[in-house]
Amino acid sequence: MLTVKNMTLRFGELIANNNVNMEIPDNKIVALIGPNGAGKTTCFNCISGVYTPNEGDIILNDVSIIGKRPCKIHNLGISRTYQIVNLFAEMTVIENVVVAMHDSLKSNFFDSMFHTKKHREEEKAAYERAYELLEFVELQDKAYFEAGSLPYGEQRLLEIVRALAGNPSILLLDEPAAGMNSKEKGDLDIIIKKIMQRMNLSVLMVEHDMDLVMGISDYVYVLNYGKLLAHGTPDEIQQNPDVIEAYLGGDD
Amino acid sequence: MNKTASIVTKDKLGLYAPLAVLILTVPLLLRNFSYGMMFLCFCEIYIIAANGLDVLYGYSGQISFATSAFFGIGSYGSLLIHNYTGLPILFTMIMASIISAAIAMIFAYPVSKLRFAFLSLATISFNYIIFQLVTRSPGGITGDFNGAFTDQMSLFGLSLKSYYSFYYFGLVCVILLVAVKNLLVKSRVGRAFLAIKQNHHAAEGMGIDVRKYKVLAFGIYGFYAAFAGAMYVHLVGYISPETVAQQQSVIFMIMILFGGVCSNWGPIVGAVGILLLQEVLGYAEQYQLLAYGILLLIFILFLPGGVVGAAKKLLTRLKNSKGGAVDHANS
Amino acid sequence: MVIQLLVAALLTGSIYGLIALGYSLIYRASGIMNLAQGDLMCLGGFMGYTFYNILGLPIFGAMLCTMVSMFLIGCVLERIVVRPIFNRNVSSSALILATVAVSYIVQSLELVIWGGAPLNMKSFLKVQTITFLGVSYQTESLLCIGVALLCMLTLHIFMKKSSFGIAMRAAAMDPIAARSCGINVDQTNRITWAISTSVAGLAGILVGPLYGITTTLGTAMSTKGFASAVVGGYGDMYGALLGGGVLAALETFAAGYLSSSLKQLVAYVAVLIVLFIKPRGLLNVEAVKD
Repeated sequence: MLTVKNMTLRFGELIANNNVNMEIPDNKIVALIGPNGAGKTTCFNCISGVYTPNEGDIILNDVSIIGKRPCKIHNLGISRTYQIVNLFAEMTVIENVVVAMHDSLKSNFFDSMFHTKKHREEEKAAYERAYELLEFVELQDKAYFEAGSLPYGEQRLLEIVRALAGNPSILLLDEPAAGMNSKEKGDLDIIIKKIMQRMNLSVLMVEHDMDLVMGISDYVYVLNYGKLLAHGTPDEIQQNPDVIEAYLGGDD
Repeated sequence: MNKTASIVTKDKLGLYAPLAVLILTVPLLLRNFSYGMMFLCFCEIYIIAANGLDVLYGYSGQISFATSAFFGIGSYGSLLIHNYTGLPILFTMIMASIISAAIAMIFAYPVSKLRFAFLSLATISFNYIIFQLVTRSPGGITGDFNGAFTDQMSLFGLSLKSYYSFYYFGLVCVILLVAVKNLLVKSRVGRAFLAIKQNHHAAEGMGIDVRKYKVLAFGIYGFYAAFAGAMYVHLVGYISPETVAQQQSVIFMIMILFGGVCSNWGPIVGAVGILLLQEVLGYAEQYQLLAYGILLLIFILFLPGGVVGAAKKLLTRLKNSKGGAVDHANS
Repeated sequence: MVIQLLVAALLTGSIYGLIALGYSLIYRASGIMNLAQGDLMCLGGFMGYTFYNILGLPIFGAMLCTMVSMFLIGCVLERIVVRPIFNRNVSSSALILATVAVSYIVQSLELVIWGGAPLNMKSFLKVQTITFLGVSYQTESLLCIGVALLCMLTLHIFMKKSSFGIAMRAAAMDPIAARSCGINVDQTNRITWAISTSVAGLAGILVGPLYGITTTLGTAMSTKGFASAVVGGYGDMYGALLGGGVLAALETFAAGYLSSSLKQLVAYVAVLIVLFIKPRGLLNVEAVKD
């Protein structure tokens, strides 16, 4: 379970996140929505350690993760995807996944240097597991393609698989449907649900596609101007006059 | 699907076996040509340093204009330890290399947050600092501008003064260090380096301690460069501070760009190629500079994979045109 | 002695500053660091020598001719080296090495045309020294300092106020957006290179009578100018001169009070300290970008 308590982040005068409180229970899909510039991605960046909030606390299963570096937070069980595709473009698809297992591989420097039996067995197991993960999103046939050569939709799927490789308990998805066509979006719906059930994790996602959000979320938080505007079940949110106002009265 | 393939596969054996024979028997061919042997010894030394730089620049993506500084730390380090304590040379060489690796890592810790041009400036400054320290050492222990002398290579009481015997000693060093490098970069450590080079934000986000691995890459680089430097000083028996000059560091960068980064053969081809070029151009500085400048531009613009990368591309193209489509269907 | 050291520091600082100005301009316009800046300075010096000593032009004519030729060289450089590299989308590290390549080529041309021996330029002014409050100053030093300050001021106003300067900054920040606003990004880039090359050339001709001109001066000046730009705050016009001043003051006073053999050591240690503690430089707040 992930708890965000009174989190505030300032960039000079600008308050990007103002006293945000959130709770992501185990095995649930939680969505974070809001107009452009509401501070959603900033909130993600605080949770994943890219920014350190000025005030407040972020607690993962009773352990405060505030002030920890992104790599440490990843290894504690919070994994993420990015708004813009952020793959290792010149590595193969499967290598992208194995890279994210870095921390779970226990070979030390000398094992790596001399390719000891331990290292070889571990590498083999890692590649096998990565292959299984790729099967999950049906990318196994492209395992040895260069990641940068995949079509956009598949790159986004690969990002999700890569995030799963670290065995996270919380998966942060930053606009997973952005740029996908309607068929891919439909599949995404099923994939996210499948991931949550099989991998035994919770999902926190930022998404603009309301059909996707309202269709699969168990709970929704709404941010506006860095502040929490409302939270509740998808039905409650759709009825909420403040939310409707923020969306209609805001930009476009 | 197992990609951790062994280094020598069957079809490559046909290529490697004659090469191995040639490398082992070259001293016999050059029996009366000691200059040629000296050249080969220098090749061995620069191959080791270039491989170190390949780990740093090719794999972890950190640019360095301080290779000759670490080379110099190895040379002067081994020279001083050997001259003052009389310890066996191989031991002092390894000691100096470890010291150099430690200095590189201490330097890399604050430097790891810098990238590209800022990293270049930091390494250039470091190189100048080392040069200043070498030429104005406390008590003149490095011989300042005059340089310093030391014993030539010997191993377990056996003198390896002649280029012929040094060549075999160097060959063992090259094989060991190059093999270790090539295994290392194909492990989880190498994968972490490549991830950092390609996308350091994502690497950090995927649980790789970017700072730790950047520091580690500097450590390996420091060790290799210094080991090469130590070999140099005990081959020649003398070191001049010019070896440590910052301008020399750029040559190492040219070597690996020329040969090609991130490959087994790139640094080897690069080191030998540039040394050959220097022999051809002799000491006419203006032509050397012109050649370096034009080579750099050509390799940056048209052949980013270096000679080895270009050769690989050519080979696959030839293979494909000879009905290599079967290969594709299998993969 | 303090005043003399101060003037010496100002002199060196203004030359470093002029090189640093070139660095900052190019960085502002295209986000890259041109490590050939010092060698372009030397090229300017050699040209100034040709126009002034050999062809016997009056000093301001020689300066003008040098700056115009350097301006053209800058255009050519941008066209045949910089733009092809940008169009190929090579890595930032490769861009740095490409400027090193330019530096090598410029150096070799200098060696071929003017040879390796140092050339001494005739002095520009009839009056060699003036005495003020009991201290005598070399007039050429004062001229050099004055020209550097003037350059900085002009370029700063140019970048901030003129429409071209604004276009240049826009092109640097987001080339695609700038292009869609009708800015000719290639042209702004070319002109930036041309301006910074001619500023470097001006520095070269000013240095002539003071230091003499050699090819080897270029590399040292490249590093010092670069260091000044970074110490002052990369991309900032005032920062460039401030950085040059700080670095030169450190060197001069270290040489004056400690030992002249320590001056380089002190300078480079200072550069490392600034890089470690305040990598964005003393003035700038937004220089480090990915």
